[in-house]
Amino acid sequence: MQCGGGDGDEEQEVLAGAGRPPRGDGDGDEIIMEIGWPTDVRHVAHVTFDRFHGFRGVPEELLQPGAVVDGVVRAPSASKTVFGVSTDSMQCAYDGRGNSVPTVLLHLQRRLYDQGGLTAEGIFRVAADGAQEQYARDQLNDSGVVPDGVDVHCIAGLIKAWFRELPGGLLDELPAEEVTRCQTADDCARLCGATLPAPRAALLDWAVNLMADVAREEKANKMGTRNVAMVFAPNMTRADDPLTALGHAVQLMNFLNMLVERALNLNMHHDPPSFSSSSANSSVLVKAAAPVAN
Amino acid sequence: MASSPASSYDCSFKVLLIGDSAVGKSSLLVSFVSAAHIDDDIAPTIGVDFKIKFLSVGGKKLKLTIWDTAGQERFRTITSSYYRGAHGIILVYDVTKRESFTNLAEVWTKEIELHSTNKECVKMLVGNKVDKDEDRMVTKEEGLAFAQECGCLFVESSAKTRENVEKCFEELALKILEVPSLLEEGSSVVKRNTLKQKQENSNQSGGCCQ
Repeated sequence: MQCGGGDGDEEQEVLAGAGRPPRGDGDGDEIIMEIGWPTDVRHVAHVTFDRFHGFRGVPEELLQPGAVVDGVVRAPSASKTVFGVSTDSMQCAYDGRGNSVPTVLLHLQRRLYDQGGLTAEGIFRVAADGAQEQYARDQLNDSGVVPDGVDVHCIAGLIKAWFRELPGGLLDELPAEEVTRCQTADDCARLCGATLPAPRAALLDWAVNLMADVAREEKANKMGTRNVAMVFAPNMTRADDPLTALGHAVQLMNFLNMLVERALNLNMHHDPPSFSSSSANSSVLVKAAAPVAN
Repeated sequence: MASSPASSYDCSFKVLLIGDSAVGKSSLLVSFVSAAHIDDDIAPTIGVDFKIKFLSVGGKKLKLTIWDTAGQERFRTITSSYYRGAHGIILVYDVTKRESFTNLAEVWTKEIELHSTNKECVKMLVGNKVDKDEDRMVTKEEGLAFAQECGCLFVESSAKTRENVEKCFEELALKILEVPSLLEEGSSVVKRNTLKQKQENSNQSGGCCQ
């Protein structure tokens, strides 16, 4: 919507400029262009957009080639890029735990798992080749798909970059002093449930479970809960002043560490497969409304 | 008084370790400073960390303050401020990870150009993890060629077996000593501190006598 507004302004300026006589031209003849109202209007289609189904009701002849995959209209995002955009304007889907998460993240996660990223040494810590990451990012922006042949560290890097560029920082709404006060994993979960808005809580739940999946393979990837929390935490806060960011990142690292350990324990007891659909009670976040056992 | 820190060394230099995450910067530093073998798992560095090492090179007693930076991209804004006034910069890559080598040209040399204030600062390229020779992806020749291209010293090392670890820091220190402007800067810090200490001492003794 903001995009449309911006375009409109530009257009108006251009029109106004065209209507004005060129400067230095002493003629003084004012050309006034009148634009009439549209006539003979017919209602052809009613198009709506929502985050889960994209544009609905677009006439077939207006659909972009490639928009229909297997008979389903692939929903484009309302924004042109997939990085640095609020989740409000992105196409989302549900993960196996019922969290509404941008499809780009689910796509990256699927590719990471399929390519054996979980067992790659130093996954989420090792940097990818800078040029390859830029290429993959461009492709992701253009087509929503990670090109083939992109390695796991690049995919992991893009997931971190997505969080790093998320407007507002995923965890910046947690008051720093409250974060410091959290002593146990349950404290952390309760704080998230009480202070994070639902879309952010869902994103965090998704991310924490991703980190737990990584930590579960510690023997192969050397990324235990602490290590994986350490490389994620700085990407979840956007404090401008580097020193504040640093201090906050350390607090958040401990915080995430506790949440990831909790997710590992919960999954051990409930034993759901990582993408099961009925694991609401093993969610790492205690929903504010739900009564808390213990 | 002879053992006071200010008079126990002739020069003080600032050295910076940079490079992609997980190439072994912290391991190199720990290996050098504590002369210990490294166990496999050193956690990622948050922000920056530094260690101090005293050593004798070329007949001079040196104090090296070695800054270890986080390779994680998020920390680049923080680590950039540590380039200022560095006398030596060690660029580290992992010989078993080609990306960490290509990123030196794409990322790290640019960071130096942007943030380093000492134009004469000595650079050293280090290909780490040579103990994993079976996984090697970057040859020694490639390393050498890149080092020549950007005017760096070059060494291949293993923080794990300590191969070439001391050599790396000592060669860097030797080279720094050969640059007159750096030598002067490193010595003047010491002189200033010695002077300050002498004044403090005389003040103290003055107070004592009264």
